[in-house]
Amino acid sequence: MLEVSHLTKRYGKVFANQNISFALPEGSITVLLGPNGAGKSTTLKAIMGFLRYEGNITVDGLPNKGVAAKRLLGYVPEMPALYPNLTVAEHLEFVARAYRLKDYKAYADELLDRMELTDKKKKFGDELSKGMQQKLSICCALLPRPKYVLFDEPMIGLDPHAIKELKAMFTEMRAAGCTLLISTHIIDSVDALWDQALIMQAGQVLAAVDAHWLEQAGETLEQLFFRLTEQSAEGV
Amino acid sequence: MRLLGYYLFHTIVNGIKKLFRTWVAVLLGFFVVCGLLGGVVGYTLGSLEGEYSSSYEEDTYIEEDLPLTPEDTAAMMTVLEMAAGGIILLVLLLNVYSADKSGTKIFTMPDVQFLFTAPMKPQSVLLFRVVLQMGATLLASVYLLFQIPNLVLNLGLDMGMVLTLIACWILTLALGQLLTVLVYTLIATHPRFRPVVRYGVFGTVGVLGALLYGTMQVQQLSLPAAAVWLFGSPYTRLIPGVGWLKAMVGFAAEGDWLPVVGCGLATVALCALIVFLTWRMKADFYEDALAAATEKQELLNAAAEGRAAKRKKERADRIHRDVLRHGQGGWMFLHKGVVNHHRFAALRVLSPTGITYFCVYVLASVLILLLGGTEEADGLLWVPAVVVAVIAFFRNLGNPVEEDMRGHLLYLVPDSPRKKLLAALLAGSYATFMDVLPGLVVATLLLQGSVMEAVGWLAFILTLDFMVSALGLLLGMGLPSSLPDQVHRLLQLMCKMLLVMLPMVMALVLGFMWSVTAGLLTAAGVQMVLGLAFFLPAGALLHGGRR
Repeated sequence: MLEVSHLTKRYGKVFANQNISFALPEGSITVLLGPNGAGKSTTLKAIMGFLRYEGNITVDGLPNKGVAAKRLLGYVPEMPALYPNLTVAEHLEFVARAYRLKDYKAYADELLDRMELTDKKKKFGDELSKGMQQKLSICCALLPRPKYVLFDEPMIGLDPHAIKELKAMFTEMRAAGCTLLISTHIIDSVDALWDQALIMQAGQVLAAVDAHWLEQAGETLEQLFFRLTEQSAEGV
Repeated sequence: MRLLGYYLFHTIVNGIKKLFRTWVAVLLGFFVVCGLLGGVVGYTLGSLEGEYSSSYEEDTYIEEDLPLTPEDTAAMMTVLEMAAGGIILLVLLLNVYSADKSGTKIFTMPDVQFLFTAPMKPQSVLLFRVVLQMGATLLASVYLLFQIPNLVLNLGLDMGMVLTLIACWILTLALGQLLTVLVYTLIATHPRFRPVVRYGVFGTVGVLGALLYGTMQVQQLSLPAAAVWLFGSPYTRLIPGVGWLKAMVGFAAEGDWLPVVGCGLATVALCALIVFLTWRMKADFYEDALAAATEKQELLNAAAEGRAAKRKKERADRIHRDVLRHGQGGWMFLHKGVVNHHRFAALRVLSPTGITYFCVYVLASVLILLLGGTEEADGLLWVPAVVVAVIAFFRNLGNPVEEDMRGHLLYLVPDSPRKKLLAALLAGSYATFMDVLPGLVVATLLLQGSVMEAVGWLAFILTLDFMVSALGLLLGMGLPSSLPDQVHRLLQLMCKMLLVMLPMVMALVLGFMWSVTAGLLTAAGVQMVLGLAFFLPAGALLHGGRR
């Protein structure tokens, strides 16, 4: 299980995250919703060990900044950035070497095929469009078959086919026991996919709800989101 | 290592592949062929001259120079070793001082995505980048190997000495880079050490200055004699790093090769120790590295998309914001340059570059006066002026209108392309004039130099700036934008270095034969003509040369 306990991240006097706690149940999809500047990306970066913060984050009981925890984590950033002098295929090879993977070639080909990048294998990083860079970024994050994958606004820049394929991959990964945390501010993009939703605003988690509970409450995620964030903004 | 090797190999090979897709490969080929031809011609001429002089020597009596006394030789060796020590110390201190910034800057955004997330210790990620940088440094040092014949034939150094100098330089760079990494790892993880490092560097310089002053007072010695007594002492060779490296040069000058090897090995061991310490240190620098990489990526994206990057900090309120009201059509670029120069300058006059030039002029003049007195200072205005000319040259290695081109402003203003480009170039010349003038005036007054010579230097530096800017403009417009930045910079450097030779030689020859002022003014004329020659075709490259 991935556990975030009392996470606080400050930039000077500004709180990007303020005493956040949550856990990701294994084999589930959690969506992190919130308006711009809510602290979603900061939370993901803290989990990935990129930031210095107060609080505690563990991955299967291991400290998140350690090498062992990193083997379990995958990350797709909001803005993909590729090495300009490596080709698509070489990026995957690079990742495989960094993770010391064996027998990954067939899976790499499968990922490229699903993201329609097979014919772009020899293109350099700086020759790809933004959408293709995002697709390759997803392939690279998934290649080591991480147990937990963090997606930061993964749908931005993708074409409709890739979005459909990515959604299918989310469901398949969950079925295979993988745990996903998807940060987004476009609620429609994760409709009918999620098991747990964390609604954030101003660095705090306003609500953590699961899909069954919301269904029984007779409210949609969108309705709940606007109700909570607008109330919070009005100071209710 | 497998990861590093893979990345290094593919990055280099793919970089070359990309390069050969453009016509720039032809230009680089041209440089190589020119270099080879130059070598062959030089060698042939050298052989002929050798034959001629040996036959000439048989027939004529040549008055031999008086041989150097052992004391003279020893003094020369001490000065050589001290100079080497000074340079080494400067490089290492600069590395330590800038570790905070340069350590963060070595990472790129792809590193965040592919290396920071990978199951690797942060130190491994850091060493990955550092080894790549050291590889690039070594690659750049290959250039030094081509200087071996020059140093052997022209300076009369023996091969062992030349190889020692090169090895010493490479070890200095490697040690400096590893010190950067060690200090960066320390201060990024423990920010409380940041001021300690800064003050430590200043403190070291202060302590050395105090020791020098103390030696002057206690031993009743002049400044140079005290420097030799203190820094030329054989005991300084025992200081780890700086001492060992300078000892390599000293022992090589004495022809004592075993200690040279010993000092070199000791420095390598010191490098290994620094790697070990860095590896063992608890490191947590991803946050700073991520911030710097994000900023760098933003700049790259802005450049690729042709827009200006967002400023990190807001400008101060005291800055005049509503003064850009004049300038018509293309001349607006000149007006913009002039206004911006004064807008951001201290007291509306001195820009940061102007302050640097001013400091160089004043410090060099004061040093000349301190070391030689007013009598010796006569005719030494060239010393600070040459330093400023060199800085002005190296500040001008890019495309002077790059910012206007990125924002599409140069394309959008409906006016003659030549007028727009000339206005932009003249704005640069105006800034250079304003930067150079105050320091030059003060230096002329301090050194009681000739006014005509000062005018000559002003004309020389201004036209040098104009010529180099015009070439930068032509290259910036003509080179394919798909080329990697490094290749752009390399080509700019190579072309400009070659270009500057002609006026430099003219100024030197005429300066020796006639007068410094005449040499400078003639060279300025040549630079102006060359600058115009580069400027004219550049106009045709901006939207086809049409309005």
